[in-house]
Amino acid sequence: MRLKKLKIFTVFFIILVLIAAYVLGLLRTYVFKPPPSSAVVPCTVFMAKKSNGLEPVGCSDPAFRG
Amino acid sequence: MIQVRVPRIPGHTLLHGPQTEPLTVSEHQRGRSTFGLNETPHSGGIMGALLAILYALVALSPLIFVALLRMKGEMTLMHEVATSLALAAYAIMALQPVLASRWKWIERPFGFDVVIRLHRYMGAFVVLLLLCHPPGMAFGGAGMGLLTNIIQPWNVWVGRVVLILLILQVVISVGYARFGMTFEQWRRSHNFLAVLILTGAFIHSWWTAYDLGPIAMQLLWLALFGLTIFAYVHHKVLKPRCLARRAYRVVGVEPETHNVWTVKFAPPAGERIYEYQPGQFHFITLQRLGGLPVEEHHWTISSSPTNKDFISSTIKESGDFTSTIGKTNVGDTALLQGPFGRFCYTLYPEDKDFVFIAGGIGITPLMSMIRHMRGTSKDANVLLIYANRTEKDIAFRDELAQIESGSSPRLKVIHIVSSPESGWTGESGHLDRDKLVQLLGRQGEQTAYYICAPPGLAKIVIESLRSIGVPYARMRTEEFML
Repeated sequence: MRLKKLKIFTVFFIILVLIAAYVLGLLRTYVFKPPPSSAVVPCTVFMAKKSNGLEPVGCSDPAFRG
Repeated sequence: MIQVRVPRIPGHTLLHGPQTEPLTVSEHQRGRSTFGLNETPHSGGIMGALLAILYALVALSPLIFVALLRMKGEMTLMHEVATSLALAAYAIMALQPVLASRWKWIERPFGFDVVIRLHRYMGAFVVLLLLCHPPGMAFGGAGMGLLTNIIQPWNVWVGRVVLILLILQVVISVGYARFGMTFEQWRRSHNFLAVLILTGAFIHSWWTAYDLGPIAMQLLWLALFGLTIFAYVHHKVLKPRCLARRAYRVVGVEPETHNVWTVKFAPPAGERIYEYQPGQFHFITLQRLGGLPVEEHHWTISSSPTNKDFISSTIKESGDFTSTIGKTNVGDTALLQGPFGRFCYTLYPEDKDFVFIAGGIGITPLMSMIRHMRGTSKDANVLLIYANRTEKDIAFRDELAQIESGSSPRLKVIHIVSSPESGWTGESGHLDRDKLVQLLGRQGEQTAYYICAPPGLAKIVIESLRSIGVPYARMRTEEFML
């Protein structure tokens, strides 16, 4: 009986892990959004000295140039 | 109830035999739990359920954390599923040393055989999960180079090596005897590979996994790795040192048959024998003089807990190590770790009448129970069917006859030998279904069946009992394998 319960638990556990992995994969692919902080791309910001102080004039990341 | 035990002979798996490791059930002895905790015999059910849930939660904790942190994936669905499989595999791997650590609060509700089986099943499951990991990552967007390119970052190579070692670990564990390895050689290689695999898995994941960015995930990873290290160090270093400080002394080495010996142990001066239940087993490390091997083996306790002078194991010569058991001398020391197992009639107070079926050395846990019944003057009917190959293989013959002549318990012993010599007047032949039915006679519906025999015989006995209508619920079987 104990071994039978073990086999039942093992099968249940394996199915649980596989389902959990798949569901989590779905959530991470289609549901979860990147946190706001991850939208910030590390880059070098080029500053220029203007009359009213320092002012950004460019960025090393091409997506933010211009 | 039927309890099947498996005696272990190096390189083989037996179902209950003299050289076995009994898995036991505990009982309340004279109003006090001898199991060490004030638990009822069946209280393991609740504790067992809680531990099973805890196990599943810890194994899934990386996935739970990722979900709670709402961590967006990097690539495709396949990539994320492959990542999740690896995260779960790491947590399951981290729990493997815990399962093997012999912590009694884990073993007690299930029995040692069940815990070790889960350890085996999960080892194989981890391999399957991790075999899916690299292809899932590659096909999921990481590129086929992950599978085919030799030139990869060092942390990827660590992962590759870990996977190879893991496969090697499982293959060796399944078939070490076929590779000509002894049990001791397998155990050493198993421990060594386990260290490499667990350390490598941690290094690979720590330096590779994008998901370990958040501090919470890093803390979880460190906690899992810490749990692994603690379980391993406790099992391999701390516990042996603790046992060494309380080493037992060999106080008797007595032959039971031509190749079976009973070794008696007494605790250090001023200390009592640890509490155990009849039918349980323990791990013994014999420290003997004369260059005899020092190895740890597990054997059934053959003495009764009612005996406060010594605790004994009855051991059959069946391998390289056990062939030297008769050379053990009085005065040698031994480290005893136990008790373990749930193969014990005292855990089932509802059992009133018993059929004990033993094959060869599988008599040892049943002998412990019979001695305990005698020591406590238990009012019970016990039929012992004891199968051996020849008459000279019968252990405890005189003592069984002595107990049979008493009234508590009301014991009836039937010896059956498969290769009778001239002059044998008892039962002969193999213990198959027809013979078992003949020997059992008419048994009550509440009769409990305890079986301890080599696997082949135990299987025949269980199937035979099922064929005559005995439900599994009245059979308690216990395997002991390492």
